[in-house]
Amino acid sequence: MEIYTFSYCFLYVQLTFMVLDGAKSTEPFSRLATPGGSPASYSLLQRPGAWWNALADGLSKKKNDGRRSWLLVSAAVLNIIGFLGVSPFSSALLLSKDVSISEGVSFSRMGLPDNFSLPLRAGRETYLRTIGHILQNASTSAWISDEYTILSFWPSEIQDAPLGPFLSASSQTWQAETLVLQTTIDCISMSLVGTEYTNDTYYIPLPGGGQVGPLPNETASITLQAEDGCSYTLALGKAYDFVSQGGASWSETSFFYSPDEGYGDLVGVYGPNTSLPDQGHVISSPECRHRELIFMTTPWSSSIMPFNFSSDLRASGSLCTPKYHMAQIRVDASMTDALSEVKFDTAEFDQKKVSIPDTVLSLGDFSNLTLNMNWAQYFAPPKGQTRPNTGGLSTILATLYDFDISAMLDASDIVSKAAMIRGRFFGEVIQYSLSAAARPPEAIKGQITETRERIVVQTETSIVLALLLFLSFCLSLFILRASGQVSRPLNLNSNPATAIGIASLVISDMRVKTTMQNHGLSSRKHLEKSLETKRYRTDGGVLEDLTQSDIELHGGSQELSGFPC
Amino acid sequence: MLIILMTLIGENTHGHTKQKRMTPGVIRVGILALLIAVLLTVASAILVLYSFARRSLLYRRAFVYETTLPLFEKSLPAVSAYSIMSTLIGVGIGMWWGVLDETFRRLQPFLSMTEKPTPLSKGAALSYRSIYWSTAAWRAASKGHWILCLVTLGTCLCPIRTLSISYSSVRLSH
Repeated sequence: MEIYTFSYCFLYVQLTFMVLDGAKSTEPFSRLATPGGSPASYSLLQRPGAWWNALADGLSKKKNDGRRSWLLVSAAVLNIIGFLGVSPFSSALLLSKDVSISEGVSFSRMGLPDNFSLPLRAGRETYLRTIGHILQNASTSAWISDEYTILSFWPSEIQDAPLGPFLSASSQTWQAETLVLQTTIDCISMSLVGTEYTNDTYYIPLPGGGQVGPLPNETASITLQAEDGCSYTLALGKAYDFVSQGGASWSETSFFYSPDEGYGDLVGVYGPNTSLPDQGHVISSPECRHRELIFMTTPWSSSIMPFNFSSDLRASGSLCTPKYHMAQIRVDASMTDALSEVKFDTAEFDQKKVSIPDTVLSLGDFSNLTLNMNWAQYFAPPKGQTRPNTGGLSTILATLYDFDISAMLDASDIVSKAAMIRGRFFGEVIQYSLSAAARPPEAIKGQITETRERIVVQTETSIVLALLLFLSFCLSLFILRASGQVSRPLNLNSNPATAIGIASLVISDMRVKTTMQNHGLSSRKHLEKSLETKRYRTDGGVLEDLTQSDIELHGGSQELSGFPC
Repeated sequence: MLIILMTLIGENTHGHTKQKRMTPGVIRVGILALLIAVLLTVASAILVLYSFARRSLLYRRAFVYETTLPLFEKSLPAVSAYSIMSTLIGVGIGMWWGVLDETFRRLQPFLSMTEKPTPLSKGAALSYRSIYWSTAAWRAASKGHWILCLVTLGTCLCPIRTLSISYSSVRLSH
């Protein structure tokens, strides 16, 4: 690109040079054409010189008989502006730069169904992705974060929805409006209010009548209570591992999840309807209203025979209500080949959010998935008797604390960690459910911003260049006017650059002819000395000698090489 | 190259009729020989570098070596030193050729008149003073002044050559 500007510049400078050359070569003749003529040294012996000579000659009053030759000065300035100003500035004019260009394109967007509530399902991969992210920070999708899930959008020209961690290989930003879903939990804490140990017997009624028994029933129970009156009592047989090791459970308030004793992978659910008394049961008060309970406890006792509740038994729970919100806002997805980020304005979201109704998403499905006791099928808890028992989703929560129940009881961020686990799972479930629903994507309008290489014009350079060229334009208009036949007569009949032209100029006046004949081959110094007092003038194509002094005689020939051509 | 050689040959056949004192310096035989030598050197340097580049023998070290300017106490990467030098050489040759061109144009009508009697259109009434470049080349060809035609063609090619010399040094460094 610099080659183009350079060549145009070069041509322009050459043209100005031609103008200056013409002005320089005709200057002696214009001096001779004035009524008073001009001394020999400023006309006959005048050499064109270079642009600085032209500038000096034009400004000198002495050489031009008391006036300045503005034509010569303008032509010189025109040339100077050309090669000193236009040339360097124009080579710096164009620049290739990366600019961000936005254009509106049509996007495709994943949307929720209009006329029915989207059933929320989870597949094997959903669990794998959730657990993989929480445990090993594996990035699963750019659209899912700890708290928010964004329904994905992509330019319509891309066929498959980019749901993974990298949206596109090129550096771009996508902007469109889409639905953002948020899930949070509101929790209140429950504290240990009582412990109890019962030691009695029970009888099992047989179907045909009669009964089996008496069977011993040694049950330990602890009671947690929250401020709003919810009370949760868990009673377990004293031989259970949970009693001697402690653990955690994440369940609905009517239940308690724990890996079953002696059966490894089977999960035991202790609810209000468990039949045998020594298998344990849960009693929860109506104020609990079937909320989610994250419950953890240290070992209840150190010895079995006799059973004593240990003095440093600690237990607490978080009674949580999940909250779901959604809003349709503008989302920016920016990507490079290394990283993809999806962002939006959280303040705008908070302003526009509405609670997600059941008509849009079956939130009950999601609660069932979260409070599923089968999490152990996807992530095996540690072997019994090596670590505390954890049931349900609390296994995942406990991994974040390395199964240290005291640390979990002390941790202040247990609720936020639980919210994070829930949020991630929610995002994965939404993505899975939407893919399973296999709805065609909606068409919307969005914007792509890309950085492309473009040729830009530098503003300052172009302003300077425009000013210089305008100045040159004004100068050339002046030159045009000032070099006309009327304002600058040359009194020549033929081109003085040719031999014939010069000969016709000097042939008429006798004194001029004699001078030329005598001084033909003299050196320049000689010529200057002998002609220094002479004055000449042209009139009607004839060179006239205006001086009155005698002509010195010198030998010479017809050679004309001393002339200013 | 061809242009130079022909110029030299042409000069030798016509040059003897000029008085030695009056011959403009730039067309004296010695100076012309020097110009030929310079042009040949530049051309061969470019060819050598080009052949090295084709065979991938150019080592980066030769081009990224930093030279320090003693006066300014700043280090200058060799690339810009090469490009400055090559641009200077290109511009120098261009100016030299320009003077040669101007001298030839000025003297051509007299040259043709000195050789043999020539009609007015090719001698006494001819002036190449204010025609340049390709116009001059065309006019010279139409009048049969072949050497002048070649010289003015060389002037046409001068800016291309300057550009290509300076750009070739930049390209070689990449």
